[in-house]
Amino acid sequence: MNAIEVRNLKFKYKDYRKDSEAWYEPVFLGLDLVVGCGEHMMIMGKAESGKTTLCRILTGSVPKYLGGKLEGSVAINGKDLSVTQTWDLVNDVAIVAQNSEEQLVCSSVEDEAAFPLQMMGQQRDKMVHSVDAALSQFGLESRRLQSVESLSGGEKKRLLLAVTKAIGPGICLLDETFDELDQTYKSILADWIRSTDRTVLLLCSRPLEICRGIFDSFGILEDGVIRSCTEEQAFETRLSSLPPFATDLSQAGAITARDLEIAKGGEFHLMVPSFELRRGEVVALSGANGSGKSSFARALSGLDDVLKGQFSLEKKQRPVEIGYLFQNPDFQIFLTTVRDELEYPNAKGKDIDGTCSLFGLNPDGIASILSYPERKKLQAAVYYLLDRPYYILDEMESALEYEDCHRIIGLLRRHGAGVLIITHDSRIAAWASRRYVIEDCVMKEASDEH
Amino acid sequence: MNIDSFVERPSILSRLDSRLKLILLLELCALVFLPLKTAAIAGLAAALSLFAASQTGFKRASKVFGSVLPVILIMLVLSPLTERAGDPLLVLGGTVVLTRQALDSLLRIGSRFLILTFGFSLLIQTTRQGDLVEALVCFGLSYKASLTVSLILRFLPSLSHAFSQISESHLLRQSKAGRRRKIGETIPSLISALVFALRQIPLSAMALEQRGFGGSVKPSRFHKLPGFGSSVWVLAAFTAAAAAFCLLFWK
Repeated sequence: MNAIEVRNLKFKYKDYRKDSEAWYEPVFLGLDLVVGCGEHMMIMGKAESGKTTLCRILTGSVPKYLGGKLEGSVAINGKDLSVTQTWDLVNDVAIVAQNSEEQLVCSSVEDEAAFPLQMMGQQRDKMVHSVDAALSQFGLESRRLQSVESLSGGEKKRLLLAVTKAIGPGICLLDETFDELDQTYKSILADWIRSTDRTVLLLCSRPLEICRGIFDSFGILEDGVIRSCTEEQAFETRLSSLPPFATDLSQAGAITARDLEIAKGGEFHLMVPSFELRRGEVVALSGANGSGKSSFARALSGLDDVLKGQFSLEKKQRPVEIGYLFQNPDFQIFLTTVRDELEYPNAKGKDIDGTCSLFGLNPDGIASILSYPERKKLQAAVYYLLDRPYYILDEMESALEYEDCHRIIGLLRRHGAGVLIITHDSRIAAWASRRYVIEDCVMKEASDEH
Repeated sequence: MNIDSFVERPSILSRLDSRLKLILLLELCALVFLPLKTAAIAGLAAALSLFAASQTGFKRASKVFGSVLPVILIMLVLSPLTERAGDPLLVLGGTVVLTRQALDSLLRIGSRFLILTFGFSLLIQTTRQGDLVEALVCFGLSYKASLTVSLILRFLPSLSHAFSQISESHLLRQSKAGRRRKIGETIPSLISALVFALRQIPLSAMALEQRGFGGSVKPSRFHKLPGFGSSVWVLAAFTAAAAAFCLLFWK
């Protein structure tokens, strides 16, 4: 018996914009996938190739909740999903979703980890042991009583990993799970995949060096089907050497900050002795999950106050000078269609169709049902039209390919904008001319050997 | 009503039994609707606001107050118009603008609103989700119904968080610095938060089912409430204090 067995899967989403039976272009066109018990498989796929849809189909959540027409057969540990309810698969398969916000259901970290175990009717002693071990492995032991809302993006992903570890399902579906994790937890996840005897299916759009040597089989999801390949082919397909961005200081101006102190509850106290972002340069910022990168970005863009310190621009001026792309695009996309979104708050003089073409978007697409990478692109397109002199891109690479990230940064700095990229990906950080790191609660400029 | 997530902060309320807190909340709700003197209800509202600040921090308490302030302001504007009868307190150009009864009514309704808001907020902010579920089960609700109630309460702060993020996103799209936002401009943020909430429905349902919610297995309990023990004395003391308060300030 195979852990995952998908035969001749055809799937398309329903187009709710139209009254009659209307469908979007098919996502899968006769997809076959067989993953043996204990096998570790990595599937590479471009943005919008259907990776998240495949994960949701494998847990029985699609088409049940998001509509669509599914043909073919899908079986998990021999259970036919056409006659099995999602809740009956909790022991068989667990998913770590690409967008962590979608999957968190409880208020505290500890409750989140314990929730599925309660639903499985596990004995309390066993539950306590599983929760302790899982939270400890993913570094959340000290945060166990805290609110889920207080966690950073990377910490939320670690919590989902801890929940999966606590459940201990036969199959783990990891949807772009390495994104948003810092180097320490990328290594911990890689070690866990290497050592576990459970079936692991990782779906990703960017290959990370840390993933080399930990998977048994590889596939490429393209044109609605999966074709098997070797490890080298999987990595080569998605890797390309993209040049660093040249600094162009022809536009005068810089935003600077001195002697900042930023605090968030009792979670951290970040010191920033000196920071500078000049127009025309690309600067990277890295640091561990929860070290204060997003809090710094919020303070820099004038959304939050700092305890101490000075900025070269006044607080009320910063939101209109700095285009801050949040880590989660859902908080920056709120209108019906892509066109509406790009026209807000003022359509005057905006080349909407040209912008859509540059960012690979359909102007009539429904914004709320775009895929996660498409929402990221739309978020960037909105700020492209606002044409700010400075940008902060908060982990924009999540779910995007290197080429897309590089192209979007290039587009945003077309008029000489200064760009601060917050990233955990060293390849992306290498595109910057300078780099800041947060270590031991202090943000400082990294030397070349960093 | 503004409800925020659990606040991990040592406080008197966070140490109290969740069942006791539920009973105290019910007593408080009953107390504010008794025919007590207006000054007493207003005093209780002020005392509860200060108590909330001491339990969850000044910032959170002011956030709760800020969320009900618009409603209180609307009352402030409308009460003189709707309550016309009574002793005139303020007369402009021969027209009665404010009567003693209107002021009394405004204070009474505003204070009740504030007490209820702070009461519920304190319960949620000082009680862990699991303990709240156990307390509801103790009062006869089924486990699944209790869980559903607690999940709803968990999603309200998420929506409040989403609304503030969306408002910030709108702010970041402004073209002129420091422009004061008009009230009408909050409508796009409200609609966006509504769209966000609607989008969360299938996603939350998916997440719950993926965690095993809805199955036929009888759920086990992670949280275990201790014996009611000394809570009986706290309950007795609060009830006695409430009764004395009623006797002293009965209208």
